[in-house]
Amino acid sequence: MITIKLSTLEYCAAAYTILWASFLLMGNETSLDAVAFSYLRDTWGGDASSARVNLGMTGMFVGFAYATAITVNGRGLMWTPIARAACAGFNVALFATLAFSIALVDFWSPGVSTYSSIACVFLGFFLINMPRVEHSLLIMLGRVRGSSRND
Amino acid sequence: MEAAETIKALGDFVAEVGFFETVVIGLLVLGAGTIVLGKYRRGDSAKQVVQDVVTPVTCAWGDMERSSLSELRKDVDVIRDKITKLEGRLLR
Repeated sequence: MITIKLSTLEYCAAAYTILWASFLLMGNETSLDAVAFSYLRDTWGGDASSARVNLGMTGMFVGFAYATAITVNGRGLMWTPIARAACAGFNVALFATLAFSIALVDFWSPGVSTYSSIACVFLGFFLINMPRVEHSLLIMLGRVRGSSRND
Repeated sequence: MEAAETIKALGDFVAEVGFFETVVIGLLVLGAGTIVLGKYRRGDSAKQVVQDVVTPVTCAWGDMERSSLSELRKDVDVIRDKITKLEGRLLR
């Protein structure tokens, strides 16, 4: 039986975020000037140019942070699950907003279904990381309690 | 009528807070809910594991099937191993 590790899938998700952001950064003023992106532009800086740079830079940062958290993984048990869930959660919000922005103009556009599906995949990664997040929170809580006992 | 009002209130909330922020708030609620529900589910499974592991051992000791110290050590090791596996499941 072939098993695929969760980290492999999450690396792919991080690579997708980096790729998406790099395409946005490499583009020009027309990349985000369509009417379908007007809501997205309003959320991320107003005009097409600044929204493109803001979104691209944030996406790039989140993608690399996601990949770094997956690489460090168990060596940073206290923060990596939280970072992984936060990066997946950011992607959910980003692609859901993108789908929402298109849906405001044309609900039956294939872009709505595509970006909604991508948001759903990231939602899966977000939820899968929740037990690990709980474990990290418990470690933090234990340390806080331990240090308060020592004081 | 109430459903329509709820949808309108939800729409007003999204319009006021923003869709991105609404999704983030939803994720925080969902994450907290998942942790709480997961804790209850794991509580059940932990109880099940403890029952599965401890009951045969305690029955064996209660029925006087075992009596030596080495057997007690073996049983304690089995229980400890099961607890370690249960804890390991949280990290996987």
